[in-house]
Amino acid sequence: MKFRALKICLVLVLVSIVGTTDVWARAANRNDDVRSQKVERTIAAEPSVTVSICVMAGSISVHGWDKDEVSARSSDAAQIELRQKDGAGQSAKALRVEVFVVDKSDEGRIKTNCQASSELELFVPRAASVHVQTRDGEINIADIAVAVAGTQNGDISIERVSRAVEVGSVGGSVSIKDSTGRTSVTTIGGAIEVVNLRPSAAADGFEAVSVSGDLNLEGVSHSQLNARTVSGDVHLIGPLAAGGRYGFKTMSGDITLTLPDDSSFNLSAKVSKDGEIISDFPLTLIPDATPPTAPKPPASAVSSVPPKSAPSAPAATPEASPVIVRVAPRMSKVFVTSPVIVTVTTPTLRRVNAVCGAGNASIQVASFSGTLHLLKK
Amino acid sequence: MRRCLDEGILQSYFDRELSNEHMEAVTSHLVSCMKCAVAARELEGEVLLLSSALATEFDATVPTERLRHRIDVAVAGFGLGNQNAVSEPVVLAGRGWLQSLTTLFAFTPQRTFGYAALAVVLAFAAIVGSLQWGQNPSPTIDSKNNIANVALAPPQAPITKISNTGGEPASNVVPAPVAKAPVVAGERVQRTRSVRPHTTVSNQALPQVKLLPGERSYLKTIAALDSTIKAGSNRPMRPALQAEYERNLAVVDRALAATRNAAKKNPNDPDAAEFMFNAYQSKVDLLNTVADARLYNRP
Repeated sequence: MKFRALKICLVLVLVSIVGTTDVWARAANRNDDVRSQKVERTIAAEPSVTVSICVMAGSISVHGWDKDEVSARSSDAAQIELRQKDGAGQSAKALRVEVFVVDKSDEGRIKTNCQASSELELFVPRAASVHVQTRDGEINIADIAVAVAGTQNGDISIERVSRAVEVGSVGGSVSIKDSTGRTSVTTIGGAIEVVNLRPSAAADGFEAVSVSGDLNLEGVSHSQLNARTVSGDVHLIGPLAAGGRYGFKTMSGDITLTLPDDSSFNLSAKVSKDGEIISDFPLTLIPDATPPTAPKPPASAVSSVPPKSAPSAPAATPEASPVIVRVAPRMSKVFVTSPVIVTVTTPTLRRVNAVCGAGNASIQVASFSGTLHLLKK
Repeated sequence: MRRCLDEGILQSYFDRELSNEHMEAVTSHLVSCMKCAVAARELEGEVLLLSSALATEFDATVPTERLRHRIDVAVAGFGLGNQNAVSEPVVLAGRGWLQSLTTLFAFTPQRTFGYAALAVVLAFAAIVGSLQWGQNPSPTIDSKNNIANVALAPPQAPITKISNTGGEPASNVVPAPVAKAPVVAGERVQRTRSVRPHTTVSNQALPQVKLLPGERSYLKTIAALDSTIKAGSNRPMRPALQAEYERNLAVVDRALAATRNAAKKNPNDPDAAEFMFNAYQSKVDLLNTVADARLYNRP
């Protein structure tokens, strides 16, 4: 009798366990279904529509397509709103669209913009301008006209943008490929990698700035190129634009320019006495005709960003001295005009002016303690 | 020899208790003194760590509303119960105090002798004091930095803790400047979350740094941006951003110290100055970016 009661209890326990497990499994499946439900919104838009989106976290992908529509979709967002911000009626095609995202953690109400955490995919017309902002997440943009993007921790990848690129990152790296138009890239610690960039207009320039990130620039054919870093290295690979103006500034990073054999350029370099200039190209040293101009003092009034100019200081007196460009082992030829006068401005820093070929492009290099390499491709 | 900033000044700097002039002096000193910059970063890290860890404690109302209410009720009850009993002891206490005064001035022969001895001692102390005062040079005021500088004789010990970095020429540093910040009446006292005891600015020494021409506007901008970044100190910087910020700030500060040193050694070289200003600009850019990122972090 006792054994029979025990048996019944055991069966009851087993049945209840099985039942509970089943209920849990069903509930989990239901949650998964809800979670995997895609949210998608679409709005008719002008081809040159401006779309902006800002989220706290989550990757954002933007693609250009051939439709005159803006479409946003997400697999983990609770809600997406496409808000037409141009004042036109709902029937008209949108000129400005803001994408608002609500994540599942705060479903039911639209949070303040930039507070949602969600992955998002955006499709816009190819001529559209897109402004993307996220804090912790990657940004991928492709096949649009203008890309403006900013993130703190994620990486940014830009491809096939046709008119302008302006991106910034604090810790993430930035990659731009196969794009045209003016380009501006800023990072703090992230690396910058640029491949195959062309200007779309003559005035288009390229600028890359970092604090400690390396700058790798390959195939940049803008006629105005500026690269600035504090401790990162700068690598430029590819031909120089005829009449192009190139500026490279580092504090402690090395600058390496890998150029075709037939490159022709004027070189104006400022390096420290410990820094070296190593060149594969035949360089003709030229005297510094004009003494270094004294920088102007900054404005006395306090401005948000001080001017980059230096205070007025007496110009250094040019004096004749031995050639101070070290002939490195790699330097195959050095054509030196006689007499050679290199302006030695200080015992600490030195200025070297040289020309290679006809001097079609102008290269200005300033490296406080780095080395300048001029390599043949 | 260079005098390093002591911990009290650095603490005041991070608590934003210094005046603008002193902020600028400290900022410029931190730019040129790597040892102090490292100490400042360590202190800043500790402050941020503690403020984030104790954020809930700081934000809590102490005492709690309930406790405060109970205390108020108890005090009110005590006041009502003893309203009539208070006056008599007060009168008695006043009488006792007057009696002690009258006995003090009752001249007996022993007391007369004691008072005379005390007067002699006081007179001697006054004479010695006046002689010492006459030997000390009068303090000079640096009109540019508004910092009072007192040149101390070698045997006199400096007021603040001094450490020797040994890397800078002595010509740029006043041996023992003492800053006496004027006490502004009615100035609002800021609630600070100090993690270490610190002294106020009024009795601290600020090592004076000779600024190169053009540096001042950069330093002002850097101080302003620094204040902006620290403005939300009750909301600590996100660790990732903080790590990136500190790492790159150290990079920029190293470059700044090196270029500044070169510019100082070669005052007539515009290239050296340009490198220094480039480094300053890099720091301004970095601070601008981080200030923007801090704003973006706010809900």
